[in-house]
Amino acid sequence: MKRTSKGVKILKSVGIALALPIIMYVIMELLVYATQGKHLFNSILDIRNLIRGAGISAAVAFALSMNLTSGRMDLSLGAQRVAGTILGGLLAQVLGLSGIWYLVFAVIFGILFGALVGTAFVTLRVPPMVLGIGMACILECLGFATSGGIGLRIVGMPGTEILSNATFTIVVIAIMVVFMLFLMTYTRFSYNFRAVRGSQQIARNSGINVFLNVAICYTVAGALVCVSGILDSAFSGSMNASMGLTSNGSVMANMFAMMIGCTFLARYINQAVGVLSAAVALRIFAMGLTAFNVSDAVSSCINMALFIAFLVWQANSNVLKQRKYDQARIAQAQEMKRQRAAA
Amino acid sequence: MKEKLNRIVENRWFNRLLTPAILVLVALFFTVATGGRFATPRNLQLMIDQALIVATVATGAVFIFATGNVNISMGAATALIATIAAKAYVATESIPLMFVIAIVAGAIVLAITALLSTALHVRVLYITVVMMTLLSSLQKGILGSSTVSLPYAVYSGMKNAGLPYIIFIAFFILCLVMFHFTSFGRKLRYIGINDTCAELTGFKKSRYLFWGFVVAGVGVGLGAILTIIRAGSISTDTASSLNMDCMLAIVLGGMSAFGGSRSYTWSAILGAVLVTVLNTGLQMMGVSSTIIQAIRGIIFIVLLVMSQKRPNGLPSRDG
Repeated sequence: MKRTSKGVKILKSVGIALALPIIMYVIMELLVYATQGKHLFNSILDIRNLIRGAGISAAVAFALSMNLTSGRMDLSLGAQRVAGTILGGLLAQVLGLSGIWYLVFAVIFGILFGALVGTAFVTLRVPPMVLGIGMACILECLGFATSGGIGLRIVGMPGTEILSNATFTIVVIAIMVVFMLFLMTYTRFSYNFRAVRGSQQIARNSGINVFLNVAICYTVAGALVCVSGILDSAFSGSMNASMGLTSNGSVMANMFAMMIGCTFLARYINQAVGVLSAAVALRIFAMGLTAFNVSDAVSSCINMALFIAFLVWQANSNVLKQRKYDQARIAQAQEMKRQRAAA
Repeated sequence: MKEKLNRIVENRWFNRLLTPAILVLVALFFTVATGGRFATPRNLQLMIDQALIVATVATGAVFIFATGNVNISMGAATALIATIAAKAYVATESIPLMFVIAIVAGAIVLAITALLSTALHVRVLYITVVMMTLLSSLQKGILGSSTVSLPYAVYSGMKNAGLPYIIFIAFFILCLVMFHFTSFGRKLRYIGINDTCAELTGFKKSRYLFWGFVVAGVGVGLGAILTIIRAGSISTDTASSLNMDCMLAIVLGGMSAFGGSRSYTWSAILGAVLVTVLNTGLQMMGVSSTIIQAIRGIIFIVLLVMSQKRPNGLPSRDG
């Protein structure tokens, strides 16, 4: 009996996880077919692009979820991504190592930069957004200066073909999702993470090392953005060294997937699966817009307008329910008052 | 020892005099290091001109920072408003209309940001990030790869007439009076100290936040006009570093990153001048622009830490 109910629960979760991408696909397919007379996916290349795009987006969304869900906006994430990817890739090139080492070194640098920012935050205790700007200035400079302003060039480098292989991308995404699922569901860290998110003071009083927990959040976020950085540079052939805090654009663009996954889908399914589902759905939406020949700027405007609508809905979804409840309570109180006056 | 240090850091005169003292020391250092080239009247004039845009936008931003909120869309908003205003001039050839459109559009953009937060209850943290991307994309959508240019006679005429100085001084005096000598400014600072406590005393927090954003919007509009007068043309690269410079200016100017009672309008000027002095001085010494960014980052963090007492717990406010 118990096994059956568990099976149903798993099936239900899988259904919810697939629902959003499938609904999005059906809508975009109908729109594209009706207006352009072609399908959303016309070749295997489109499917590969979907996998890569969704993987890159999911990695950044996971990284954002480590801090943003607790009210900490780390503006140095983009700089960590650029610096970690460039330094990791350059080190692998200098040592003459093959493609997979690009990823390994990038993740190591990501861990180092994440830990650096996290340690600075818990030590200095200044607002994370403001600290992020200062750290981004330093890290962007590091990536730019190390590469002589060129960034990381992967195109034509021997042994890097594997990085753009679709199977490799799927394996990396799968490992990342399983890691996040395990880390945020079955570990003491996740328990402490939720306690700190609820109330820092209560968490500390109950014996949790708040500072360590937050520093780990930054470290994991650093590693994850560098995974996305390597996948992205393998996809586009390079990672440009950016300056003037422009590195943050690619990170902010993936905030929508994080919000859908962490604040909406997480009510019904595991947060890690929710983020991946949201990333796939938004990637399908972006591919649909591309099929309409919509420019990047207009596509970004549409995305952000939808994001604002989602945030407004999220913030006010229970207002009507609360208003009804309040009116019922007032009516009940007035009735009681009337009865007492009559008595 | 630690207590003694905290007492010094908490002293209001320490906070007020730290940035001016650093500014004087840095200027002296660069004057000596460049063999006097740094302090020539022409160079000083150029630095003031450069600092004006940042100082104007940052002066308005003080009204948001004072409440403990951070707005990272100021640069994107300035770029978008400058584009709209320049397009309006090209279409109408009317300077007064360009001014009115810039100020009204600036106030509307920031008012929308405020309304999303106050009336629709979306967290300021999320809204500013989304607005930054949205406004930047809007500007790219309007401009594409083109550039909007004003005739040389028009923008150089405004520059030669000293309009940038008049605009900045008028706006600064208005902000100074509103922020330091009216109940509006006091209430904004009160919200920054403790928003719950502020609301319990009977005034509507959302209303003051809204008007704080509107004043910042006027600053953005004026900053956009100054950008047009200075550059003469607007492209997608316009004001790309303004957001960072504004935040740097406010914090370097001695204002608390948490807002509240240690919020001053003059922080914007001091900070803007300090940022410009650092950039110019280091460039004159032959330091590359890459290294200058890192130095700015380090100085930013050091001054940030020096100018405020470290809390026992982690900062729990948004952002």
